[in-house]
Amino acid sequence: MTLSDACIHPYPDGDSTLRRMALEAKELGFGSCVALTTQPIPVLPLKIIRGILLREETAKRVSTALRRVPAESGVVMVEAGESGFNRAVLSLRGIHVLKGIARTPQTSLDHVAARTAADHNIAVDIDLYPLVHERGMVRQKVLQRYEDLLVLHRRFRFPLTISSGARSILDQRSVRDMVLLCSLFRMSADEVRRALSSVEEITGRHGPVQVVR
Amino acid sequence: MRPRPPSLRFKRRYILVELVPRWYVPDGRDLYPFIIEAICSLFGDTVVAEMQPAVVFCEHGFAIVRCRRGTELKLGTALATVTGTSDRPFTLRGHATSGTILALKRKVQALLTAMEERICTVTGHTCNVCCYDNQKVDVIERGIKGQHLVFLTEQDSEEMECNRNTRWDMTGQ
Repeated sequence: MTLSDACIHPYPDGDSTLRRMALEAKELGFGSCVALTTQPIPVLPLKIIRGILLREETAKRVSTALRRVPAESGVVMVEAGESGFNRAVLSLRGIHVLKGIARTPQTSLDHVAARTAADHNIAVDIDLYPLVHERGMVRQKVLQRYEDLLVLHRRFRFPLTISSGARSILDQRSVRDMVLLCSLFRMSADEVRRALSSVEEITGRHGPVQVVR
Repeated sequence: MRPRPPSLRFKRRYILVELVPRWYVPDGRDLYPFIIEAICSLFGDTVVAEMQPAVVFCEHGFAIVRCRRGTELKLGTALATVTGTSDRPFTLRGHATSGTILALKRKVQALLTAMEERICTVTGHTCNVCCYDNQKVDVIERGIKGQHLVFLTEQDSEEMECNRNTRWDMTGQ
């Protein structure tokens, strides 16, 4: 079981190079990372999966953008929006992760969207960056959103991913720290480990049947 | 005042944390307010009072933080949310929990790696560079507006040397 940090932002988005972040991630107990980068990925001691984040206002634009996604992108993420947008996006083919759920209104992910995510095996991301860096009311709201997300996850069994959202090695957290941070919204250690290992599961899923000549 | 007998003392737990970046060496007194703020904002004053946190050791880029037994998980969670200040960012990475300071000090000796500091010029800027044994390189550019950090590896710095045209935009973050 390979544990993966589901989103890091290496240089030039952040202040740390991909090699350095990979080195740190390995020391922190991870077996792979999803990096949002357009730079070429060098050979590293840690498996790096290239990720792409689509930020669009309508589901139609997401659908158009999906056609332009480079073939080498391992994980396709979409920034979450309002309820209608999320429902529409979750039924699209080619999306792996719905990201940024903490920044959306509480009703943005309802039971219908949760069932759709489970049917299409699309993961919802838990970003730990706001938990670490925010204080006060903002962090309280994030904790509420994640607790609410867990209720839906336990009922409908859609996959979850956990990411540090790190733009620097100073933002990267160890597996142990992630377990502790997730315990703040009553996520058990088993659930955290399952979520950390779900990147392989969502990227390695089977596509439609193809004729092999 | 005579110390209390052992049976009347509170049981303690000690957490060993590594300061990242290693070259940032604060005093125990400098570190304490960050830890208290992290615990207080996450769990509130009641838990701080119950936890009785204290920094008992801070040397060589490692610190030992004390708490009451039974509160070490909460302390570990709060330590993961320490981020420093905007002009001096740092983080604390938990390594081990123990009932004695001595055991953790032995662990510090095992975890210590050599670090070499030197001054270099990167794209016309004079920077302090810290090189670690395990291929890690930290570049610190100090200017009048504060400091800018870039974290890379030896291989990255070699590639940078080869390609002199590379502009490490350390101000554009």
